[in-house]
Amino acid sequence: MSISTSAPVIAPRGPAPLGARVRGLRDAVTMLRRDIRHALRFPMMTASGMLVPVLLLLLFAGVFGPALRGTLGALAAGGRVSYIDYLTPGILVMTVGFAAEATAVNVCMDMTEGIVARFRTMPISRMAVLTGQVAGSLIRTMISAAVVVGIAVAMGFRSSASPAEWLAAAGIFALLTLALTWLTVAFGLLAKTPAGANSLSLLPAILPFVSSAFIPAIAMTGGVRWFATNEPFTPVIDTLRGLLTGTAIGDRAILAIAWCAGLSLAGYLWARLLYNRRPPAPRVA
Amino acid sequence: MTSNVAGSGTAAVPWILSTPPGRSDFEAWRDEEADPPALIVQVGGTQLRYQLRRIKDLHAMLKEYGDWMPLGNADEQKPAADGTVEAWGRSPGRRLVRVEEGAPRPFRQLCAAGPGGPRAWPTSSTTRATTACARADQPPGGGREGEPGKSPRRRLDLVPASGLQHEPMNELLTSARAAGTQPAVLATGLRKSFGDHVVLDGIDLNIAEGTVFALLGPNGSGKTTTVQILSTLLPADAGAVRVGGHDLGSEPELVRAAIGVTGQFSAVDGLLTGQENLLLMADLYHLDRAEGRRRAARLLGLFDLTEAAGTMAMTYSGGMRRRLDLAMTLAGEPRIIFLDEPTTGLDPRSRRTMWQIIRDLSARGVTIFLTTQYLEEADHLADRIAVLDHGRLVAEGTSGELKRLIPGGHIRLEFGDADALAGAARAVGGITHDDEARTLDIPFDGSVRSIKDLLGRLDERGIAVGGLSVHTPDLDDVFLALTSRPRAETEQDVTQ
Repeated sequence: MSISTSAPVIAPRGPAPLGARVRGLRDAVTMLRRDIRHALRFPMMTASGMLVPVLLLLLFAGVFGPALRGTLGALAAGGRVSYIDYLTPGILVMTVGFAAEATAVNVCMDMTEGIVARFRTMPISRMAVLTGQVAGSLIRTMISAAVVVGIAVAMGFRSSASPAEWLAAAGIFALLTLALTWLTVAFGLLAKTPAGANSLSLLPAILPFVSSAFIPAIAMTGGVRWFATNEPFTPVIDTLRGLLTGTAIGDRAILAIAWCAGLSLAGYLWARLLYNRRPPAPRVA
Repeated sequence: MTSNVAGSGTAAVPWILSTPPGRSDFEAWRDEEADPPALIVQVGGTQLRYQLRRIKDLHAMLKEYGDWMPLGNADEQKPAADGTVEAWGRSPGRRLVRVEEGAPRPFRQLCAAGPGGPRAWPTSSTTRATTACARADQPPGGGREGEPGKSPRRRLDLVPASGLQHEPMNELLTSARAAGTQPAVLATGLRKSFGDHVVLDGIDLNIAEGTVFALLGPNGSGKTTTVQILSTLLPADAGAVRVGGHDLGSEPELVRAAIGVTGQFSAVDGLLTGQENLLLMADLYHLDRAEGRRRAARLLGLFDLTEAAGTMAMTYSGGMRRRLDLAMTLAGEPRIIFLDEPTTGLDPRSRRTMWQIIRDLSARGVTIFLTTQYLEEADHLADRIAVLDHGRLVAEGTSGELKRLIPGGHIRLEFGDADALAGAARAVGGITHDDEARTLDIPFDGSVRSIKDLLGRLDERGIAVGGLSVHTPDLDDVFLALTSRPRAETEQDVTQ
C-alpha cells in the first residue's frame, strides 16, 4: 500500500473560523452523536439502568404495597391513599440514580480508551467529550422515565397533573438528572476502573431508599428520620409528587431546585477539574 | 582558573575508579542476576569500595564527596579532543549528571575548553541546569600520589558550572529565521518529573520542517513523556517549546491544529465502525459533510480498510487498528505528526507497510516525529536520530554520524586456554569479556593492515589463536554504548 502522491499537498491550517462558543456547541453535538451511537450499539447498558427501577416498582407496589398502605393511611390526614400514586414519583427519582450509575461506568471506560487522549490533542472544545456524555445520559434517562411512567400507569397510577404540571415535573426531573449525571461523571473520572466507578455511584442509586420515596419521613425515627427529611432526594420527590398527584408542595420546590442547581454546579466543576488534571494514561486496549 | 573545587594543597580530589552503577544495575541485583552494585573511590592514597544497596546511596556518596568527581582511572582519563573529561556529579537539584563525549550539542559547547580554559560561562536567567567541565591540562597536585609504575596523576580542575546548558529560545529562533527555515519542533531545556522521579532532565530538540526525526531509547527512557508534552497532553515542568511555530504554553490550540498524534495505545473508538471513526474526526475538524465523507473514503482506501469500513473497530486486528489510528490522525491533514512507537507489536509485514506509509507522508512534506525502540527502524526512516537515556539526550545526529561515534568496531579473538588468553591480553591489550569463553575484544579500525599487525604480534609470542571474528559497528553498538551501563573503563581507549 502506498499513499498516492497526487493527494493534495498539506497546507498550514488554522482552526476553523468559528466562534469559540459555536465551536464548543458543535463539538458537544458531535460527541453526543458518538454517545448515542454507543448507546444504540449496546442497548443493554440503558436497558439495565431501566430494569432495576421497574423491578422496584413491581416489588413495592405489588408485594409490599398492601402492607405499606396501612402505614401511609395512618399518616395521611384521612382520605383514600393509593400506594402506587405515592410510590411512582419516588421510583422516577430512583431511575435517575440507576441511569447515572451507568453513566459513571461509561465515562470511566471511555477515559481508559486511547480515543480520549486523541481528543485532547485535537483543536476541539475541551469539555465537549463530557458534555456530550451528559447530554446523552439525559436523553437516556428521560426515555427510562417515560417507560417507568408507562408501566406505573398500567399498574394503576393515576395523575391529577395538568399539562403544565407535567412539564414542570419533567423540568424538575431533568434538573435532577443533570445534577446527578455531572456528579457521577466526576465519579467516573475519579475511579481507576469501571468497577470502582460502579461502586462509587451506588450512592445516588441507594440514597433514595432513605428518603420519602417509599414511606413518608415522619414514619421513620431518630437519626434516620432527620436524614430522610434533609437529604436532597426528599424535596425533589415531594415536589414531583405534588406536581403529579396534587399533594402539598410548599417550599419543597425551591429547595429541590436549589439542591439540583448546587449539585450540578459542584459536579460540573469537579468533573472539569478531574478531566483537566487526569494524566493521559490509556491502558492497552 | 580560580574557582576550583579542589585547589592545590587543599582537600584531595576524590576519584571514582569504577563506573557509577545505573538503575539497571540495581535492578539486576534485585533480580539476583548480578552482585550488589559498588563504587570504588580513591581519596588521597586510599581506595575505598562502597557497596551500594539503593540508588540513594549513590546520591549520598556524591553528597559526601562533593559535587563533581571525574570518572575512571586518572591515568586513563585523557581529555577528549574538545577538552571534556567524563565525570559524574550532582546538580543542585540532586540529579546525577554525566558529562561525556556525545553529550548534547549545547552542552559540549559549554564544555569546550581551549588552551586558555573553558570559554566564558554564559549567564542567563533561563534554565539553570548546571554541569561541570573538567580540564586535564593542569599539573599534578591535589595531594594524591601516583601509583608505582604509572605516570603521575593529572589533577583535574573541577569547575562548578553556574552557566546554562541550554541555548535560549530566542537565539535559536533568530538563527533559524536567519537561515530561512522554520523548525517544526523547537525545544530547549525540557524537564518533567513525576514526584521524585525525573523523567526528562533537560532536553533540547530542533527538528527541521519536512524531516523525519526518530527519538530512540530503551523502555522507560522518557520517549512517551516527550511525545505527550510536545502534543499538549502533559505540561512540562520547565523549558520552552514551540511546535509548528506556536508556543506550547500560550497557544496550545494553535499547536493542536497543526499536529496529529498516534499514541502508543490505539486511539480509535472501538464501538464505532472504521468509517464512523473517520467521520467523527471529520466532524471534529469542522469539515462539511460532503468533504468529510470524501476524505474518509479516501483514507479508508489508502489504508486498505475499505472492506472493513462498516465493521466495528473493536473487531479489527492489531495492524488494522494501527492503520485506522493513523488514518484518523491524517484526517485533519496535520503538518506535524507524532508517532509513538508506531510499529511496536506489529508483525513484520504490517511493520513494512507502516514504514512505507511514513516514507510517503514524509515525501509529501509532513514533519514526522517518531519514537522507537528499534534501531533498524530509526536507521531506515529517520533523517536525524536522537538517543534518549534516563531522560537525557546522550547523542544526536544522522545514523551515519552516530555510527561514527563507535569507530572501527572490534575484532574478537578466541583462545584455547586461559594462559593463551592472558598472554594475548598482555601482548595486545583489549577487553576480556568472559574468562569462561576465553575471548578477547580488540578495537579495530576496519583496515586489513591492523588485522595483519595484530596476528603478527601474537605469532611473535607464539600464542595460538583459536578463532577470529570481525565486528563492524552498527547502530546497535552505538545504542548499547550510549545507553547501557556499566561501560568497560578501557573503552575510553578504544575511541582514541
